[in-house]
Amino acid sequence: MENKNFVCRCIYQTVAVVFVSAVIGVCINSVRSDRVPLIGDWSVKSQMTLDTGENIEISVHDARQLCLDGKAIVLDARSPEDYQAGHIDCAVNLPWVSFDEYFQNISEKLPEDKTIITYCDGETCNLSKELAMMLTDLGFKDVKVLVNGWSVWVQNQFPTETGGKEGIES
Amino acid sequence: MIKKRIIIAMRIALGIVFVYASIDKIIHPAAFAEAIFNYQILPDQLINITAVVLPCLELCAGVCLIFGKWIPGSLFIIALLLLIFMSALIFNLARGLNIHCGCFSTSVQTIEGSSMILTVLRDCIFLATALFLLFNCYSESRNELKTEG
Repeated sequence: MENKNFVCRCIYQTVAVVFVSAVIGVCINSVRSDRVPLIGDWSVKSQMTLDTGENIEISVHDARQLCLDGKAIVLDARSPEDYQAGHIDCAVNLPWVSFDEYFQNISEKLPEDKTIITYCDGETCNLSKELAMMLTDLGFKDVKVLVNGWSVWVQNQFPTETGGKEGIES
Repeated sequence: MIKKRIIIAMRIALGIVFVYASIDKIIHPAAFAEAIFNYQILPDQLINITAVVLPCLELCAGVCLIFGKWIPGSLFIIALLLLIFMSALIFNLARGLNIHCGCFSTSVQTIEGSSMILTVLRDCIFLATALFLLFNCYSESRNELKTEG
């Protein structure tokens, strides 16, 4: 009997705390200036669209063609360990987590007239987008993101390399 | 008497931890929504509503524990949240997803992995505390009923 009483009290209190929390949360969100929509759009297309409305996503085939034509610089935003384990053949490593350190070495060698393509691994990986946004903020005009870049490149059996040092020379 | 004081101290400490943990999430809901997205566990439609409600749930449960109201329910919520959080961490560690960027990486098994394991261990301690306090609540409620009977 006492078990039942305790469980009932526990359930009643849990429901009450959840209800009060939901009401407080929704109320706080509705009055704040930086409110988030209760149902957000987390699709890849939405995430690759800038505030200006420009879509910065590039297809793997376009990226491959630009790479072959020498019209693009491909930047691998993953860690040096991931880069050395395997990367797109024409890519250089610019790890987003160590951006300041690595960017100093390659900034002067990044051509402003070429397309810059960033990539990482995983459809939800935000390293490539963060890197692309930073480069756009720094004044680079044509920056694109190859979403889920490493995986789609490998799936298409395009050439890859292993090893190599980070930096534009590699 | 000392046991009772220790239990009250543990309860208040757990409450403070949850109130503290909720504040940053309440201040930055968009960043928290992105963190939830990076876990890749919830459907997209539930990410924002979770980012809005979950920190308040932590806050309310923490405040209840600090002030000694609705203790069993708050402890149950906290234990459940810790279990869900730990399961999500272990699941992502197992599939090699770095929850800091939502990306697949070999380093998850090394550097990121060790920090995730430490987080899981920390949560284990909080979970053990919550379950101990919940069991203590149950014992107290049973003793009260026996005394009344």
